[in-house]
Amino acid sequence: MKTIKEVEQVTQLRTGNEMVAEAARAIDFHFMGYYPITPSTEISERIDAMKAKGEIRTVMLPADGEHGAAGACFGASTGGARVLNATSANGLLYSLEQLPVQAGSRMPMVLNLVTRSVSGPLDIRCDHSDLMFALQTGWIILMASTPQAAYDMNLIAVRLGEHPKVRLPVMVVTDGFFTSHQRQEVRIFKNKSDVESFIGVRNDCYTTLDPRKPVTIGPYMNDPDLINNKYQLHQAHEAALEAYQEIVIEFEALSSRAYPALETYGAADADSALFILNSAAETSKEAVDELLASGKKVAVFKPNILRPFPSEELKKKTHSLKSIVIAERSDSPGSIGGPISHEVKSVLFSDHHCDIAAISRVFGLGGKDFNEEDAKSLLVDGLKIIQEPGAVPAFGFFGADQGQSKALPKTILPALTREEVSPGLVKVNQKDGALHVSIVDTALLATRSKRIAPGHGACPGCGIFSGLDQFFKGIEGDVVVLYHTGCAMVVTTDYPFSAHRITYLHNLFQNGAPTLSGLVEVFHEKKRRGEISTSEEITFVMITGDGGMDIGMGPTIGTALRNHPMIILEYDNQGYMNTGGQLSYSTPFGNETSTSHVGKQSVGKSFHHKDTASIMAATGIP
Amino acid sequence: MWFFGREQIEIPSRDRVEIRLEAIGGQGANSAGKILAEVAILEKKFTGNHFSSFGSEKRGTPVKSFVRFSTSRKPIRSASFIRTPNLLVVFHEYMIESHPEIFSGVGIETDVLINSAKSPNELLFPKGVHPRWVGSIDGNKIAHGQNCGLNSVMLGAMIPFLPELGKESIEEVGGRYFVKLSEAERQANLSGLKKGYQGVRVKTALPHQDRINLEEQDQVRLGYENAPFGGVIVNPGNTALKSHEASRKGFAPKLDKEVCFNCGMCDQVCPDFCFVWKINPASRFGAELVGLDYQYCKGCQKCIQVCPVQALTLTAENEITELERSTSWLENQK
Repeated sequence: MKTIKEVEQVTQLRTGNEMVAEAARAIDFHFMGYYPITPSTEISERIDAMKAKGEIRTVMLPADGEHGAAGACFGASTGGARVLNATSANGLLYSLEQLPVQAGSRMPMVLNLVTRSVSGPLDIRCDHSDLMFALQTGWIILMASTPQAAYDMNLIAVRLGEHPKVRLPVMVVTDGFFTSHQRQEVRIFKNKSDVESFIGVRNDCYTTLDPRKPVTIGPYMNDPDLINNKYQLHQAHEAALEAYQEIVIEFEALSSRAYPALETYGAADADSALFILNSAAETSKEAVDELLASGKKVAVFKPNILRPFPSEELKKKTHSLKSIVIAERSDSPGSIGGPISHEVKSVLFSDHHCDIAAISRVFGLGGKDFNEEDAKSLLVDGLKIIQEPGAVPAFGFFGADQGQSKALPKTILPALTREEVSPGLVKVNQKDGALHVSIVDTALLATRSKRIAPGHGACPGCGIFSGLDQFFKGIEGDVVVLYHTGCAMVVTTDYPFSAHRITYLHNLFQNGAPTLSGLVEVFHEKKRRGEISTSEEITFVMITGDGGMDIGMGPTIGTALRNHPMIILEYDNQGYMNTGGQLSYSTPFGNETSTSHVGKQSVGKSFHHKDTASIMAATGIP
Repeated sequence: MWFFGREQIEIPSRDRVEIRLEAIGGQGANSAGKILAEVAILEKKFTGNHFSSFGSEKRGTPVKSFVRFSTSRKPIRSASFIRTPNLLVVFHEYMIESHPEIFSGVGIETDVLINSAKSPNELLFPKGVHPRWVGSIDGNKIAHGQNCGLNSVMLGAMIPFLPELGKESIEEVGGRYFVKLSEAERQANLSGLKKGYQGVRVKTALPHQDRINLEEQDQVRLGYENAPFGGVIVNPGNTALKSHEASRKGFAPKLDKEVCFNCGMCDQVCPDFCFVWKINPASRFGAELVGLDYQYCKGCQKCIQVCPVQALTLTAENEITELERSTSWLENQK
């Protein structure tokens, strides 16, 4: 075996997202298909900027949604390309259907999952509820608990996924904000050639781009064959664990950084261990140091690879344990434990002689902070149950708050009355087949009760709210609104506050229009059944922006074709503004945004502005 | 040892330092934290980390930025928020009252630096908050005068509290950071940093110092026992309880009712619904502008631009009278 020397590295101060982009710079992927979503957006923004400067060659494809992004990545990977994607939370869920296609077809690629809580209610901060949906997709899942690991794991991911015995897509998981936006001292390979020689050259047994070797990828396969295909997938995961262990040994020789399948920190003969994922495991190490200093034999167990699950390593390392606490940033409601706690327990249970007491805790949901003191308290719980079985519950939420009292805060504004919503300032008459609208001066309009209260958190000078208010001033009678995710949604419904004085409903980009279709139809059905008075009139309005009209275009067209009585108001920002100004399909040709840079190799937005009005007109709405 | 006026500030040598910056979005606390981390980690070769409490925060809403470092290079692994800071920096004096929770975790080993025109002696803290050293710096005035970022001034003012990092290193890294700016802006920020350092006033906090008695918040804390399920909010329009005065940068629109002819254009453009109206048949258009509720005004000046008769003018905060400030949107809904 050849001896491997440590490569030259440079020290920098970098965040997790920046490190993913640095890895992409070194790897020079053929293709990146993506759709922006907080907190992973920065990855594509940075890579797009590198591309514009001519530092990398990667083709950047800003898809029309995560589902489209995943499809683009699948297509690119069938052509034998090195492919990258990055997403979070609902982005992962929206692309979920495509993930088993990628794994089942055995097409390697790399997806960076920057974890974030899955909606609803909508929360943009970190937990692992998104990651847990990925466990069953057949992908390899590597865990990156620090900005450094975000870089290292991307290099390892390319090598591992393309391993001839593996041939699987790989997900690299960092914690949203805690790792993606945390700056730490990191080391980056100085020479691109060192990265190249580590990851090697991609070799594909099948490609869609060789007409002399035609292949059929994605056949119609029922029983009795599918189970065999899935057994191959199982074998690939077995091979992946073996390959991972070889690759990380080589990587350690190159970089001096070790990523054992299951990392343990603390006492080698620990009485109790805390099994915990990613950044919270790093925080917990500080609690372990403190407890070790006071003579307590404790340890933290942190898997660096979650799929395949390092079962044998876990068995080996539990030899001294009397108890284990499995803590997770996700719950599997109704199963009395987070998903990983069941996996850990199943590994322990498979050993007939195991008498380790195991308890599970759900913590830190939606980005709730978890510090050294919290970790210490969990470790101490583990020690307590050794002394006294049943001293603490076998399952529980750590850090949930029951609230201050049973009472709700008193409401501060009365509901708008019928007179207030219908002041008669706008009049519409039908005459000779035309609608004649008359409206009073701006001064009298100003006396009308607004449907949105002041105190929302928009930026100074925001154009949304004067726009919405002017629009609403023109509507007499009751209104029910649905807002897509976006600034107007975020700044008016910051829990437990709501700026909406009228009934408000939220849904995600893809689905606002169908959601409102359902509501409109039920309103009329309830009137027909006499469950709502026939004199009741409600105008249904959907408020959306560029995101809703890109990811949600199909469902919106469907809604328009069905011609439900409702209004869809899009404010065309020519970019995704809530997330910091990325390219949208209504960004004009040639415009520079954070994902359509102008530079040596890029000319800004490379395709034309979407004419939403014409698209909607073509549905034949009245 | 540092001398500032009659007070001398002496910070004992520390193995681990944790800094929490409390600011309003757009004041540059994240960049300031980044510069401190660069000084600590890249210049001084300490271990450490930095991150900010990002979210969907818009300009004008509170943000936090955290910096940790260890001078003995003990590994810093914690990815959690800083709960017990050694140095708490408040970028906006208004936050003392509007967001008293920013003082959580302040103890006898915490130094506090506030952006305020007041001297440390005049500053009032919420009950129970007893920092070690208190510093104040008139950051707005310096930033305005130098035409530089407030964060440069605040960085300069932090120097005496961070002897581990040192004046030269902070100036050097700051200077490198400002290279991205134009030469004029770079000089402005460097000079703001220097003036921040020179202008900071410090005082050992006295235990008997007066405290603000903050009114018990009327808000009930929601939890799993009392929150309506599904995340439903059953209190329509309760954002009207919020205040956004901290978003303004020292100026606000002032209404001259003698000049105003109640045309309603301001109401058409105001994004924050500050204008309070009533029906008045005697008025030219049948409606009368009562005044504006400054609680919601973020100082965007759109109303000033659109007013056809200059009844609204941009005015320094201290020239707006208590009477003018007394108009309440909420009261007018009852």
